[in-house]
Amino acid sequence: MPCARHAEPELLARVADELSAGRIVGWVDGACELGPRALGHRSILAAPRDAAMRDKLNRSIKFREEFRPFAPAVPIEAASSYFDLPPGGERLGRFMSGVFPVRREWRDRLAAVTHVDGTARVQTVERAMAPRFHALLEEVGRRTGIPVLPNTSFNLAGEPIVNHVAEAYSTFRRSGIDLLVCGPALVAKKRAAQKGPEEAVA
Amino acid sequence: MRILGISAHYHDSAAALVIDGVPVRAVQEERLSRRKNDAAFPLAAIEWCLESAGLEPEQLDAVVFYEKPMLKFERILTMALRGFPRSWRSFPRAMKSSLGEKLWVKGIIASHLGVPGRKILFTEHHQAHAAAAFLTAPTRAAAILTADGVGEWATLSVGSGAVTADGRTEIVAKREIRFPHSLGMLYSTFTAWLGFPVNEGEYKVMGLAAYGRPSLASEVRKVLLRTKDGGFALDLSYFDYHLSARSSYSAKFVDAFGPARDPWDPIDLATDRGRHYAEVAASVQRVLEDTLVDLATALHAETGLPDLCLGGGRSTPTACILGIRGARCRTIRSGGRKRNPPSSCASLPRTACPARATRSRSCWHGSPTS
Repeated sequence: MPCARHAEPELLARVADELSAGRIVGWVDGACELGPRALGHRSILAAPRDAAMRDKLNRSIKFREEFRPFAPAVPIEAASSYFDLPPGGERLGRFMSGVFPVRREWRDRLAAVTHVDGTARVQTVERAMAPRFHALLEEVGRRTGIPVLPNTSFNLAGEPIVNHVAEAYSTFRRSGIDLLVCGPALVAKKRAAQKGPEEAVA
Repeated sequence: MRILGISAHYHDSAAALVIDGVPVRAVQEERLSRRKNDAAFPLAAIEWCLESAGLEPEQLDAVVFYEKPMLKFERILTMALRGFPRSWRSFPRAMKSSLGEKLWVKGIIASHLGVPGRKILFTEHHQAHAAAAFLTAPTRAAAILTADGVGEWATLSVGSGAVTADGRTEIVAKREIRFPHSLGMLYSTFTAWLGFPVNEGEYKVMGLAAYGRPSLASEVRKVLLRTKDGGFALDLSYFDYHLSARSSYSAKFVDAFGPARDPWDPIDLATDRGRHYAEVAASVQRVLEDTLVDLATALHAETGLPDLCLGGGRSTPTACILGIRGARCRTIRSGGRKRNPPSSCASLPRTACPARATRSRSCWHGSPTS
């Protein structure tokens, strides 16, 4: 298996590059979350820009209904720049427990995470709760100007969220995820294997 | 003090280990068994919690299960008798699952873990939700509202929590609305009618709601009636769930909203039928939000407390926590701030809750302490 190990800065730079280039990343970091939401420890991540990405995630990864939007993760410090948070909204967003309007000026550039009614189920990421995920969001922000990523749970329809690395790898092989990151290890699918019909459409 | 919390036999079994008031381990059984929403007794989750913390079961001070099995049994029995003879089919099935596992859960826990029965304690379903909401909120006093599908008799409860000067936590349930009058069941029934799996597809209803206008809200309000005492009651002629477990909506429901969607039929928003599903979803969402905002506003006026903790199980909370959206959020906040519960269902049993259950015929049960 072409598995590479990277030092932290290079790993984050590589993942941010791949995300900016429109690739889908399976992200496993430390212990798993409790409850129905993936909060940056067992997540599937992608670029937030266009609705085509949402449709691709729905069709080729999650195999679920098209009307379902994806939740955006954003560093807690930057959240109110992109979302219209009520007082206490940052705190509520730490567990994706609130739905807030996406700021009008950002809706076009956050199309993959903006629901049809202009809202999003925001995750506000605190550095202390998920330090690597927080660093990745900042790294993405330095590249694209928007430190926001659609964050959906790392599982296929009908399956529980992955726990062990072996389950993550199995899910990676059976879906349209391009890149798998488990701690310091990184596995990429060969480009040739990616050129499926949905890529031709996108 | 080492406490193991367990939830099982309803949905998403899980175990959590709390040492001296701090949750140190928690995991859902499904992550280990690889069966989604696994409701089996969470043996693997318990083993992981104890093993990774280096504990043997006999070192536990208490094992807490999240509901009183007898109360749930009583509800099944009473509803079955009320619906007799129409309910005779669902009764043996409910009895079997109750007698088979819920009623004897103490024995199951004792035999699996080898802990003596005196160490096995129970919290009421809503008491667990209220505690999870209040104990994780950064506040010393708050009003608490919990809503749920169905736990025991209570399907919605209001109360308050406070941390006393000596550091103890007190959570008081003031009033509750009892089965079968339930916002969660209302939402789940529309979930079933819309062709989504109940207890799992509720958030799909919410997602779909954004595509429609609440044009049928007045129809939904005929199903969910507001009572003079500020509570609510379902018009039971629209439902079947208190009679049988098989289908939850009645012929009258179908007369009002049309035939149910076949789960295998795609929802095509370009067709009248597809748009109708979205309009119904938007309508039930609106009525639910309005009702919860009303109840929260009344609770705020009653308690005078600036903070509100929302708690709940699985079917309503999607709607309850996430459903109070944007501008609606502000309605509550005109008097205070909205606090978040975590989305987990784990038992956090560090609480004293004198939930007195008085039986009356009014929709709201119990009496205000003020």
